[in-house]
Amino acid sequence: MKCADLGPQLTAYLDGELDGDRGTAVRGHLRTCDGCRALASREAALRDALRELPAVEPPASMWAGVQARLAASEVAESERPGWRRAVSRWTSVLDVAWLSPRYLAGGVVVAALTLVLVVHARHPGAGTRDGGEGAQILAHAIDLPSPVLGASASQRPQAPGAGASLIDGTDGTDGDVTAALAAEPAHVTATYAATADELVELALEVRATWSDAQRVAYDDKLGALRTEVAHAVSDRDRQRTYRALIRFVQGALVRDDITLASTGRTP
Amino acid sequence: MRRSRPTRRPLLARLLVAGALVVASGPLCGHGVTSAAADPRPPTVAHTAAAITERARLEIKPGAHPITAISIDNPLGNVRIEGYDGTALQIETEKHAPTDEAIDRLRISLIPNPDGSVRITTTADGGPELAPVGRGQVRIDLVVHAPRDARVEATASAGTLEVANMDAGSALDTSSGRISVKNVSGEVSTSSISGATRLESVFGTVDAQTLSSDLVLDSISGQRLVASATHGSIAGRRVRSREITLTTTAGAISLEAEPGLHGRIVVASLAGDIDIRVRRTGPIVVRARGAKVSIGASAHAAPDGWTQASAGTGAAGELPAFVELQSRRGNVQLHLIDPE
Repeated sequence: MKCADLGPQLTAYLDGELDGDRGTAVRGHLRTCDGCRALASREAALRDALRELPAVEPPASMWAGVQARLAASEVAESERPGWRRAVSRWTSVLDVAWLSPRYLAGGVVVAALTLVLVVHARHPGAGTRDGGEGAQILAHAIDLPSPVLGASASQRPQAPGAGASLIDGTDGTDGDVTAALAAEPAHVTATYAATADELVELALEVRATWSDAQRVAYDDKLGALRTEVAHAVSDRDRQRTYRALIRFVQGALVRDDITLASTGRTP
Repeated sequence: MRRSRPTRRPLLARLLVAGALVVASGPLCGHGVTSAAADPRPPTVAHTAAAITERARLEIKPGAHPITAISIDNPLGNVRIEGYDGTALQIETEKHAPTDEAIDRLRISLIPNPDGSVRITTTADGGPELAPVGRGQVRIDLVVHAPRDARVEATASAGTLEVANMDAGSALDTSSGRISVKNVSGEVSTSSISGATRLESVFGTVDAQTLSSDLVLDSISGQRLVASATHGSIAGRRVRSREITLTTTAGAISLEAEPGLHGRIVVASLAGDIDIRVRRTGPIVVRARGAKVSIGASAHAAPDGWTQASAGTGAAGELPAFVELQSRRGNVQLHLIDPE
């Protein structure tokens, strides 16, 4: 994959809509391309910021109007014959404005075919099931009230959460909130680890300017902190140690006096 | 517009939600340290077209021991902790979810301990029988009114952490959530990956660290201030800490500080520009190095590659304040403001 190929797919990737080979290709490219990884990080940060915006409550008058229209439609609905309500439910589910009682027979066929396609799209494995299961799914889908079908759009995977890794594919977009919460500490730890590695690599550039004593002191301290990371019993402890390691390497990187580098601990 | 659900939840469900909060505080009552008194009203539930919001309120009254420490772990939303002059802990919770089932999965645990510490955690129940709900579709926001002299530790993920008007310090940690500390005394430490951090009117030792966000410090005083940002910038004003150490890798650093007698200011960056204004209260010694250094007319180059300057004279034996500024690739600028 080239950088130019990533752009059109980045949004879908962050939305968790790329699966299989396409998702793997994007992840692979992000692992190796600093520029695209930075772009993806900025995009994810922007999405986080947008999610943080306060929800805008509609004015009370608007809601009152909606309720009034709902009430009116319910009254009208209660006064209609049962067979017309059934037809209306079909038109509502399928959102096909032209369907009317005159085209009921054709409409039923179209609706059934459409629902089969919808069910197939939402349950890719359904095609491998036996006819009985498939029939049950179809029957269930037909029985679904329209709001449920509408609500399914909101169950699409969300954009990556804070601290989520953009490149390992386990960014919380797959599955449920419980799984996302469980995976989050490891993602945060990975972010700290990546930053620590980045700084250690940068420090190699200035290492040549240090004295032998400074190099030994640096190596000893870095080794001790890495050992502490390896023996940390929890992600939180590991993150805390990584923060100390980042502090230390950053201090060594920007200042020559290794022994003065602060290793102050944050929570 | 379609009406998607009844406007009220069943009474049993509402009582269960209220009960969960009270049951969580049960062990405390047995120890007689603190009694938990739930607001007798059930949680209020509001349905909108987009989501369900459920609000509840709980108060923990101290028993034999005052409430001395509060630990909050809320990966699902915002946390705001405000100190007040009372002795009880007042907790307001607000859950948001798209469905009744999803909101019932959101849990808030309250664990008061006999030693006077209280722990609050949030989570989302899981299980194969539950309909999946996305991470971004649910949230829990907490507002805690706490006794001023309780120490606060709080963690969040993408949610905001705010602490105000506390007297025993705080330790705060987020992933991408914003951190705000205002009018807090005591030891304060913050850490964040990408959440903007702002500390204002803090009186005590401060340790602040971010990876890729900006750090703003306003009206900080105390024994020590250590702040670092990897990819973000640091901006400080009205800083009067005795020992100040600010470090960035790529971000700029600006600081307006007033070092006390014998005070020490160390500001360093790999590639960021450094712009410091120091209000001098006594003798001061400055050394600096960078791509381009400007530290005043009295500056002179030393043999070791540093540029040095000094100003003012003190009483016999009085040690001057010390300022060290360096940026390997950025510019360094110092403005000394003499005493009036």
